[in-house]
Amino acid sequence: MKPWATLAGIAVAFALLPLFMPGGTLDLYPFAGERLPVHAGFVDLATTVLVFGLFALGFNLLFGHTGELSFGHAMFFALGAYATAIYGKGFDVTLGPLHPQFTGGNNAAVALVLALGSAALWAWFLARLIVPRSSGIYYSMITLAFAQVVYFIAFRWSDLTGGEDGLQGVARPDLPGLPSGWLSDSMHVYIFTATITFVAVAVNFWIVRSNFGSVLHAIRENKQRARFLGYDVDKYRVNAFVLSALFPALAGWLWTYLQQAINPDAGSVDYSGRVVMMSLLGGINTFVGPILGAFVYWDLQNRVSGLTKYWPAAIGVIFAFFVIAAPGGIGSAFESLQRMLARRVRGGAAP
Amino acid sequence: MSAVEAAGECEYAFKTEHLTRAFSGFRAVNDVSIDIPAGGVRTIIGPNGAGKTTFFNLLSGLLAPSSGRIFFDGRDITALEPYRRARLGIARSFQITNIFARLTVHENVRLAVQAVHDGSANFFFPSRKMAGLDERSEQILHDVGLTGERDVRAEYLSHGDQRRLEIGLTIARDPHVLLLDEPLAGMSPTETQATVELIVRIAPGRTILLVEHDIDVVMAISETITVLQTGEILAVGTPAEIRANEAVQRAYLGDLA
Repeated sequence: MKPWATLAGIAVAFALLPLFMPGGTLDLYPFAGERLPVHAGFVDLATTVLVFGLFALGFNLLFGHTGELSFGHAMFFALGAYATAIYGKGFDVTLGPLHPQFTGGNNAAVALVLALGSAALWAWFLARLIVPRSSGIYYSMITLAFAQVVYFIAFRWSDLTGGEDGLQGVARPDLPGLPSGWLSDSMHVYIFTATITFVAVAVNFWIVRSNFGSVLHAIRENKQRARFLGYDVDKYRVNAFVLSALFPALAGWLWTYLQQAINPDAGSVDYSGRVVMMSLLGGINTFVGPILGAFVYWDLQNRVSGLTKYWPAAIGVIFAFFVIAAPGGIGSAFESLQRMLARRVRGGAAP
Repeated sequence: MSAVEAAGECEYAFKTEHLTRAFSGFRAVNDVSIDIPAGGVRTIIGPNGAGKTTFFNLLSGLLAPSSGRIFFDGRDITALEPYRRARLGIARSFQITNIFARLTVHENVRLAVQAVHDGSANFFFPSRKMAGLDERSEQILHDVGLTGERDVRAEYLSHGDQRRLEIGLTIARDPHVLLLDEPLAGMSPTETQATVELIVRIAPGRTILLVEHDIDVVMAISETITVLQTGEILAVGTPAEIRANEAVQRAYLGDLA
């Protein structure tokens, strides 16, 4: 498929996404019952899908494209989210003799810089530490361990993070050129999130298809061969790690504005595991797979949780089924279907 | 002398001083001091376990020596990482085919060509925007005779084609020195012939260091032959000298030639 066609397809999908939510006009589930016109409940769900789709897409830059499994990417999501919330709410902490204070700000751009900056710095520090020393299962375990460090800081440092309860009542920012309070409407939050997410997806798409991206694929396939061709493999692994941390941080920034609150769950093993699940569900070797996976995950969660309180177990079973029956994920099933259709169309058009 | 001049101001490609590599006490390469002259096909032979592959691994940086030093083109490279050695112009193939199996033939070669530009400023631009890259890739595909297979995934190529693809990857950087570890192993007679022709074709202007068991090929294309036995140098000489060497006859050639 032509690159612009992929991006145009994603733009259309984002525009229509709220209608595909459970109970929406385009809900694919055949027994959905009464279809409702657009309402806040499923618009917020659609925003959630985008936020996690972005999170998973960034994670997959490392997992699917570079071949390295981080089990701690929620730490970057949490960093982005907490940076945004703490900047919005301000802080008043005691650090030994020091007593730093901040009354809070309402500039989305400043929050964005803080979210991306903190994630980039932390990711760079970690990558320099982890990459030369580990790969495979050790890499996964070390990323998990550092994510736990971030999680416990969020959990324990109550002065700054609000501890177990987190931070509530984070104000949504005013956007330049739009009336004050524009973001108080769910649909407007969706439009805002979809726009930002689309830009980030386009950037991610650019990275994957660039020369840099093809070296990541080379590293995934055969590190040794890449080294002996003259690539500084560890440098690429560090850069891939930092880049893949920026997308979750951006997602965390959006998440805080959607929820207007944040708690330590954002950095939990549960969240780190969810993006692994979403990526595998959607297909790690396709570009849109992780976004598709986020959609399926939240769609399933929403339906199954209406039926049973044991919904995580049900989703686990569905996930296991997918990994066994369709290891390429939904994305690659979708791609083979697309190829089949393309062949048929070409065959039919021939004289 | 022309080959020497072509390879630079140094008269040798590699020079080792007391090079030793021990694996838990066993010295796979034992106190090897040798000058490998620049230019031509230089072959290393020896019985299995003589230390040929270990010697290659030391030269290319896959293994660090236990002691001793390695010089390349007058420069001490003993502690240099493999990718830095590759950038100096040392390329290698492996005994077990080492390619990007799940990528296409073209993607394989393209990555090898692109490695020359690693670190350049326009690296984030879409793949097709880098000047001359595709032409060079097509040229190499043509050189190794794989133009017809360019869009096939490398894992689906025949064994011989995979070996030739790997040689294609090693020549992309136009290296001064090419280390080929048993490039003919497991090939049919036709594949062997095609590959020998390829090696002879790419040899001018560089040094080819060859480990090979096919003694007829070795005798036909080598400028000099080094015989290794139990990690030490048994003899060095032209094919005719090696054929006439009694120690070599006893140790190795006796069973094969």
